[in-house]
Amino acid sequence: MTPEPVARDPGARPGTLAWLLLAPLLAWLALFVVVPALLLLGCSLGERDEFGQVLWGFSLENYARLLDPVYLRIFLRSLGFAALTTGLCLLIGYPVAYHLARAAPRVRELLLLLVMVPFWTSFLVRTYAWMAILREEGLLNALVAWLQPAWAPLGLLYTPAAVVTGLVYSYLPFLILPVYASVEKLDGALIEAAHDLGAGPWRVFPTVILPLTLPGIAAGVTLVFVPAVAMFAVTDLLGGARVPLIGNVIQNQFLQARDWPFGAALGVALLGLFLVSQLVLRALRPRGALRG
Amino acid sequence: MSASIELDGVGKRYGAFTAVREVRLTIAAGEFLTLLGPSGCGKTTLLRMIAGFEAPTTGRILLGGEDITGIPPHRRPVNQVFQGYALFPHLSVRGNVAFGLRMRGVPPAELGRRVDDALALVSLEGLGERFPHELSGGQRQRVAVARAVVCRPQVLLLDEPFSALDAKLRQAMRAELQALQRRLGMTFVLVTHDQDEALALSDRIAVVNAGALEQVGPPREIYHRPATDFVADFVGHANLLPAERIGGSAGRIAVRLAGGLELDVPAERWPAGRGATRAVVRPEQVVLRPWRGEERPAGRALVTAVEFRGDREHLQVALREGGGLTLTAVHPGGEGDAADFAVGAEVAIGIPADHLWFLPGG
Repeated sequence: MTPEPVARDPGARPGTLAWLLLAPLLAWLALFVVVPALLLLGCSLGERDEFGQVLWGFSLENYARLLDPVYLRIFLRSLGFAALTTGLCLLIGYPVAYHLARAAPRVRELLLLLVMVPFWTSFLVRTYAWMAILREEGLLNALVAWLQPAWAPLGLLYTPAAVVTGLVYSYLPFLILPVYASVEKLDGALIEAAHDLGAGPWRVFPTVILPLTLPGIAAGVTLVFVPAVAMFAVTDLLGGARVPLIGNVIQNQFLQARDWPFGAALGVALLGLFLVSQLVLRALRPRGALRG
Repeated sequence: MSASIELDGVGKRYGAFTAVREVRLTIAAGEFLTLLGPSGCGKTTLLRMIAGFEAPTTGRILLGGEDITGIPPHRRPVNQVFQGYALFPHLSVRGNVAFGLRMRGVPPAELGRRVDDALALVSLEGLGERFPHELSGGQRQRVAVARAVVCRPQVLLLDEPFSALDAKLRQAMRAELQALQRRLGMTFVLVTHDQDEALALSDRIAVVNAGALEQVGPPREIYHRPATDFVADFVGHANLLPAERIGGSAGRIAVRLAGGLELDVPAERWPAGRGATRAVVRPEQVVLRPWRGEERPAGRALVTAVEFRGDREHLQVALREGGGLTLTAVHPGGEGDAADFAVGAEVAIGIPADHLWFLPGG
């Protein structure tokens, strides 16, 4: 092997220049992540007066309210919707990402562009478009009526299926891109080596391809699951607020009920959930060096 | 358990580009054969066709007399040591070595024993729990070899197995690999662009150029009796001197080389029926002495460059009467006579006639 360039000690402290270059990012993180998170935490420990003003204090009452079965059910439902969304994204997105990464360079560029194109339109506009598709007089029902005139129009909008469709549609690119990146890094010789050692086309996947693309899967799953749990726009527009999810409840507490402290407590609980799940994922990481 | 391979008119085209043109070659069971050639000559494509990663456009591949042309790689009793080794980074050494046995459904007890044996064979006992990134280059190569031979293939294919190692280690691993091949009696097919490797390891070398076999033979024959000027030039260094037949009698032929040297060479070394061809003069065949006046048969030359290599010196010498013809010569790198062979010194060159080879093709 050719001598490797001298590697920088990963534990080395960054120099002055590095700090200067990092400063904008650190300031941004402090102002828009750390401070709001602390405000949220502080707010969740307070109370509200009858006019909806926050009274700062120290009370765990808001957290006690979280244990109400109504909210627990909504929490669980949100996690269920997010899990279903993530599962469907994985099922649809992984094969797409895999073939994208293995396609000829020219085809690959075109397909990648197609994955990105939806981002050029506002997220809300795209969700309204789904309403136009799923409505009783919408495109999908028009298609059904044309193919099967005997069928009654399907009631698609304002159902859990519509919500999941909207969520999968919105978050699919966030799964495809990280998986694509990890498949692209996968050394083709490893797949050949597996074939050479007797693994048929179907056994190469679970033994070599899947374990080596796990980092991409983990990143994609996180990028889909976390925002999907807290999503409220899609559930409002496509679910018609008939199946409230945790995101809708939080939004309501802040904007309609004007109970900021309780909304904040819900938010903090959600944040804690993600933190715990990330720590668990980290602890489960396998020992072998995964290139990713 | 080792088998012969027969390439029967095997060719490979990619669109308009011909990577391999109808190669015919039989590799005997238990033989160590090297495909030697420059990069892009088609040697790797040939190996990949034997492994099953590429389908030949023409011809058949036979393993132990059986046609395996259409059989996919995972069902061929052939294993490969990949260039860069392609070890699975998510599996331990044991996991890597056991991979092929798992795919074949070998029962756990036998699997454990065979993995142990394979690790012992390459002296990696005790490193089974390590991961590839925790190993040195030489250890990685051994894992790659163990992973392939544990499956007891009828043929082991090796694609540039030493290219990821530094020079010292390369020497040591070379000797190990050769010993292993003798012990296993397995058919080995090695692909390399390194002529030293090919000469040191092989029973036979097949020199590949532009998708075709230039010459197939034992290392000594390839080196001392090259069939084409490509082989002469690619394997070792060669001075190719225009040579002309000027007479002959009683089993010997009188030859004049460019630069005026006249020699009587054995008739069997001169291509029958030809009036002129080129002589292959290896640098170590050129005998140098300090010039001390008129001598015969010796040419007069000027040293134009000296490259010191420790155990020897490579000299460029320009012939007086050769129209600017320059020869490369090798001279022992002693300290005593350095001044006699410095740049600008006049030397007498001699070439022993009995071991001079003449290209049959011109």
